[in-house]
Amino acid sequence: IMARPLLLPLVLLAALGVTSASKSVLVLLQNVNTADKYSKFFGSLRDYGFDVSVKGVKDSTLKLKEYGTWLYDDLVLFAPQTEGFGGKIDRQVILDFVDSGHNVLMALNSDASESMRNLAAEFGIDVDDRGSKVYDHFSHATLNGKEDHTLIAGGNIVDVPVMVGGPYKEPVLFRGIASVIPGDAELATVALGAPSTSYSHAPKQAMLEPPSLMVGSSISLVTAVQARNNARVVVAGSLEMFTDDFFDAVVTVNGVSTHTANWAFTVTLARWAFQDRGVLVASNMRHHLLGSDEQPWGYRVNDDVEFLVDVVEVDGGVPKPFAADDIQLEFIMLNPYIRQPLQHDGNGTFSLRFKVPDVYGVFKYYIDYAHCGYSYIKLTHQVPVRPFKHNEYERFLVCAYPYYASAISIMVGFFALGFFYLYNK
Amino acid sequence: MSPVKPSSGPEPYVSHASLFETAKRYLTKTKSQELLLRSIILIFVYLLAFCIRLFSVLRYESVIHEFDPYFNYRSTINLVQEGFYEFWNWFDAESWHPLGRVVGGTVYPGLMFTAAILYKVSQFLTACIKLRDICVFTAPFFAGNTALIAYLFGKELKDTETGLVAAALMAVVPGYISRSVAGSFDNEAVAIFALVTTFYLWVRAVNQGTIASAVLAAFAYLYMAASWGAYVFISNLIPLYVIIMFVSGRYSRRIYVAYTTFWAVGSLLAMQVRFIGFNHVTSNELLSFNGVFVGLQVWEALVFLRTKLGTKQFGQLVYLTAVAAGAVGAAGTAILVLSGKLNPWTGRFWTLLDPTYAKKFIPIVASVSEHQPTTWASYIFDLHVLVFAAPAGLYFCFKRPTDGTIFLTVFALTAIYFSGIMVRLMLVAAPAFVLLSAIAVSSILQSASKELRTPAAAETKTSPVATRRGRTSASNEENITTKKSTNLMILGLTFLALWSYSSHSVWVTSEAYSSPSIVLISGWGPHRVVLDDFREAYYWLRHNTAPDAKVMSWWDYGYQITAMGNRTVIVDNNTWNNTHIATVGRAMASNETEAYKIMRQLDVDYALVIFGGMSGYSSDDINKFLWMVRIGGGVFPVIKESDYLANGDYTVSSRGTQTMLNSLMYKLSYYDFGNIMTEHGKGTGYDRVRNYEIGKKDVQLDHLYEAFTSEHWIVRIYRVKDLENRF
Repeated sequence: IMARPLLLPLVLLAALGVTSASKSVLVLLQNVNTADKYSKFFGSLRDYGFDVSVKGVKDSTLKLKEYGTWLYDDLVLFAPQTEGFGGKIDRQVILDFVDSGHNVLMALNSDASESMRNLAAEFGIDVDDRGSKVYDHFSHATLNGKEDHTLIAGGNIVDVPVMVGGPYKEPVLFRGIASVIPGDAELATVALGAPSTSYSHAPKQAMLEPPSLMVGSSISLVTAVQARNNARVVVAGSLEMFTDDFFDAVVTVNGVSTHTANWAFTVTLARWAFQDRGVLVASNMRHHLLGSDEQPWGYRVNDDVEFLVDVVEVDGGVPKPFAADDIQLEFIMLNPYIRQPLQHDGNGTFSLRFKVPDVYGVFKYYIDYAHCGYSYIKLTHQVPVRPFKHNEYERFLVCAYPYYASAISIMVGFFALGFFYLYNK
Repeated sequence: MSPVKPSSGPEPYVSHASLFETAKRYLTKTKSQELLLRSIILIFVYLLAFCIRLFSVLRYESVIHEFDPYFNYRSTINLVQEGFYEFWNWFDAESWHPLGRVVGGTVYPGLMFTAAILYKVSQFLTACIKLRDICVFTAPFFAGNTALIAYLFGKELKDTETGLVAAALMAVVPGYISRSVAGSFDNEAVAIFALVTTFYLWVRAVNQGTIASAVLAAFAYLYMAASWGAYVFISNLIPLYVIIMFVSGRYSRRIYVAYTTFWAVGSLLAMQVRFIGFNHVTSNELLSFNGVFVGLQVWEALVFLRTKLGTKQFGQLVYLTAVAAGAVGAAGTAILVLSGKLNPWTGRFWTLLDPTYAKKFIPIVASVSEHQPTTWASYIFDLHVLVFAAPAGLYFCFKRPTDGTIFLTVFALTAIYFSGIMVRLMLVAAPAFVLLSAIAVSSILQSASKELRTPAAAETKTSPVATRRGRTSASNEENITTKKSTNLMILGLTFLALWSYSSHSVWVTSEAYSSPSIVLISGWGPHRVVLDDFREAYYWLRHNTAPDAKVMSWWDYGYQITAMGNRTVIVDNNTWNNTHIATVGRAMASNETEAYKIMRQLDVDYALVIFGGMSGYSSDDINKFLWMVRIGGGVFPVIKESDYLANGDYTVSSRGTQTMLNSLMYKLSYYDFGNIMTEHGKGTGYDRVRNYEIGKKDVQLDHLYEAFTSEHWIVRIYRVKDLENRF
């Protein structure tokens, strides 16, 4: 029993070590010969331990799954114009890939095909019409002396370091297509938002009257989606932002010459997408009465109990204790009777001591932690709370002494009277 | 030291010959002949009472019936396995999710204790009887006991002959058989025995006027209180009887002793049942029980004081006491009513006085078929000839009133009233009818056969009357022969009535009351179809779902799912929380999206519906659906009954409203049914219960998917999906 707390992290470590060693990424390019354009991006991924294999999107040997086993952990789609896939890949396979917990990074551009657009829509992202571009007449960049109003440099990087790194001093260059996230989308995060002065427009198409444009900060340039099963999908509106050209570019924005943050931004985001960052693992959920180590079947009302759970953050395959003050524990029967933040001890153990409410029923411990950038923690555990047993009530209450006295006195009185009546003739 | 004695010397045992002689000598005595005959009759009555209830076992199998018995069965298993104290403290986390149910404190444990004791006894006797078989045969066993008690009761009321007739009538009265066939492991199975026993012992206590007999009655009352909620009937009937005796001037010291002892011991004992507890003192349903006790004490005190005081002083005392008692009583009532402790205007109270009250205001009460008012036909069906014999019995009771027959009259009249309110209470009326009829039948038989058997005695008896009236001896003789034939006719008619009663009872038992309702059989001979869908589905749940899966169904099936499927249910037949049932009703009546929210909040994993459109099983959920709408709408006004009625008509055909055709219940019932051809010559989706084509054949489910449908589509189970992964 003593070895158990030690053993568990070790097993966990071993398991994580195995998975991190075999993180294989399949990259599908429009043209496999253009791989050199992204050499720095792929090189960085390889440096982080990913096994990157690059293939053409129409390669007839393509397959994601063989004999029921997924061959890759992650998929990179750098083929925005393609209408179909070669081999045994199609849209449904990619969706199954995500639904079974794997990750997809896809980059689009202004000529993104209908099938790519539909794929993005499956993740809850509405991509603008084919041929449209994001324009910004104010915060655009000048690259190689050429002023380009579609080269956006003033994008708003989301303030979630675990997802995108940063904070960045340099801008992230973007040239491509806009997308929007519907207001009711719960799972999507705007990783790179458009500047407020930008808009999306297809120059070759007639403008609608009145114009219905994607405008300003409602545009998402790069969108990160974390599905409910913690699979991650990143949809970037620009393929170019992953190129060596953009990584190395020196641009002029509003008269100031600057390097770009594209390299750090894209690689960090890709690592996040491939579950190399911001992964939380909750384990060893346990609860017990105060003063006892045994985990009971259930509680009695008004018991004092302690709930504990271990949470580690896995970064680059290395688990380390997670620390946060906003993990809440709920104790629910129809409604939460208790909703309190868990205290952590610095070693990744989160705990809460509380008094079980004075209500019986089938309660459940419930943790629903959805912090932006981190994988979700969703734990439920059912514990019945029973009322007092018939012999658990206190005997001989002080407030009942008058009743005891009256009962005893009436017995004595009855006896005395009976005795007097019978024998005192 | 040797236990084996040599065979030499005088032998202590009686030889066969002398034993025979003794028996012969014994049997030649009339009294012992009668005793033997009586014993044989009683043994046959007992066997008859037991055996007539076995149709269901012979025709189907040894299986627990209906709905409530499954809870009782499950509780009995818990009692046997976990022991007395654990059962007493049982908190059931598998029903009423997530509220749970304190079973130990909300159950009448008499039945479970009885079955558990029978089981332990049979174990002790090394008889390996399965607990289920014990439970199945508890009801017939107690029916035999009830017949014996009816004998004793009849004997106490009138004479031995009445007792024998009462036992025989009781053994086969259909009103009682309906709730006591083998497999009907319900509270009533033992409670009717307890009820009749309590009444018998009470009458005996009144007749004897001893403390011991009253204490015995109190113990019978404990058994009743531990078994069935209708113990309140006893504790209201007995005070009523005392009041009637008082008013009619037949009040005696015997009644005082019996009632006082019964009240004191009976109250204390009944309070030991956890479900009753202090209700026995505080509940206004028992107000008369406690009030009559106080009244008797005051009366006796006054009687005592009158012997000690002068007339004038006594008058003043009575005046003072009356004023003081009136003031204290009024003040006390006011305080209790204002503080909410005493609230007589609850629904249950009104239901007893106004039979239509529940139907109007409490849908959950009215939705139960056994709470419907009784029709005249069911009196004939359940009591047959007793309906006509009982008034005759009342006549005989009034003709020669004794304390016992007055009690029987009071019992019978109240029981008839209550049986008119609720079909279920026919059960209580049946013993009253039996006893009244027994008095009538035995009186008729006695007078008829006495005159028939001894014409000489009849002659000597009648002759003084005849001579006084100045008749001739010739007309006297003629009179005797007419009388003889009249008596013969009376006897013949009685036997004919009794014979038709017994054949009716057997027919009713075989046809109407022996179906376990868990297995259905339709058709005869080669066309016989056995519909075993319920067990098929419940066992599917047991073997194919997660052990902590929660199943949502209408409350009727809750007990069966927990007992047979071993899965947690949201609501069950113990309808203690109307809001929770209304929530389920609301989910069933809402559209799928709304229902999905409710189901997620209740942690529902599976939704189960009963559907008869394929097999023609008419008591399915679509037919019960209006009750779900009403009960749901009673708590949640978003559900409106009018939305489900097309021009005041309840229908799921193409005339049905959109709300109806989009409700979860419709979808779950008719999913995929639109493609099915059920009857030759009809279109697809032809509902064989409602006898029309359903209104919407293309049913799509978004948040649930079909997990299981039983062979004849009677039970359909759907899995509730998780939230979408990617949206």
